[in-house]
Amino acid sequence: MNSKQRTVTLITTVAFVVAAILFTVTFVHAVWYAPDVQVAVARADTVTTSSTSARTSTSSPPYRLIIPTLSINAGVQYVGVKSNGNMATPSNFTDVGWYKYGTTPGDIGSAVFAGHVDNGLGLAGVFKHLKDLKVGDSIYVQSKDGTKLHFVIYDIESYDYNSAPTERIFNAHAYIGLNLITCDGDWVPSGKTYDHRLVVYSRLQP
Amino acid sequence: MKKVLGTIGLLSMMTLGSGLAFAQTTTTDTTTAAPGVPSTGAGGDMATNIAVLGLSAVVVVGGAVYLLRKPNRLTQ
Repeated sequence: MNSKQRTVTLITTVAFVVAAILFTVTFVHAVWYAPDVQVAVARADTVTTSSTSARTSTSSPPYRLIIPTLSINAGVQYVGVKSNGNMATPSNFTDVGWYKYGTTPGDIGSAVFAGHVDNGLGLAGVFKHLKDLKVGDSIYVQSKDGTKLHFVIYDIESYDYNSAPTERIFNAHAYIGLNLITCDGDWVPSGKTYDHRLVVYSRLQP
Repeated sequence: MKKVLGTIGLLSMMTLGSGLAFAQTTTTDTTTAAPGVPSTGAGGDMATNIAVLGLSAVVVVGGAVYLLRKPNRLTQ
């Protein structure tokens, strides 16, 4: 092999390796594993005096989220906050994320769960069909000790992603509630997100 | 000198520890601030992802064909 052939072979080898890595990383990130970089939240931001705090909760942490109408039986990840202050999301497209700095399901307040509507190839995420839910449908949260809490939907809203009522979604304290949230509307390329958020509000059934 | 440094270190740790303890006791009165809404979709990147996957696949396949075409090409 002469010098020129060696150079071509070397360049081809490098291109092959780079392309293989790029393909693998892109495929995994688009289809399977897309974690958010979460930040540690200082104790001053997480501790509350009310019973809505996860730290003072009397309920068991969630283990699975079940929505029979949509045939959803999803694992639950405990998620926090991203560096931009937004709630983080689950690291894959099949689990749901419970906001761990908020209310534990079963406690007074709003327990919030988020799930992806789709993945990087446009395939359905766990909450793809969340908009098909109706008032009166049931949602169940199962904890690790086997306890199952039954919630019933009483409201479904879609908000502009810049003006969603975060206090209502995350900090309602009047009842034992469960809120589901996912993306809705049209894609915003500059923000790499959808322009609406679909929120499903539900209350615990005794 | 060692004793002086040790004393300074001990005093620093005590000060830091008491400061942390103080912070822990004072944070029990604060309330949780609501975070922003999560970004739970990636379908808008579909075209870009498909383009990247397609191009990288072409390079991988083409590179593999070239590198494996003749036996021992890499060692010639």
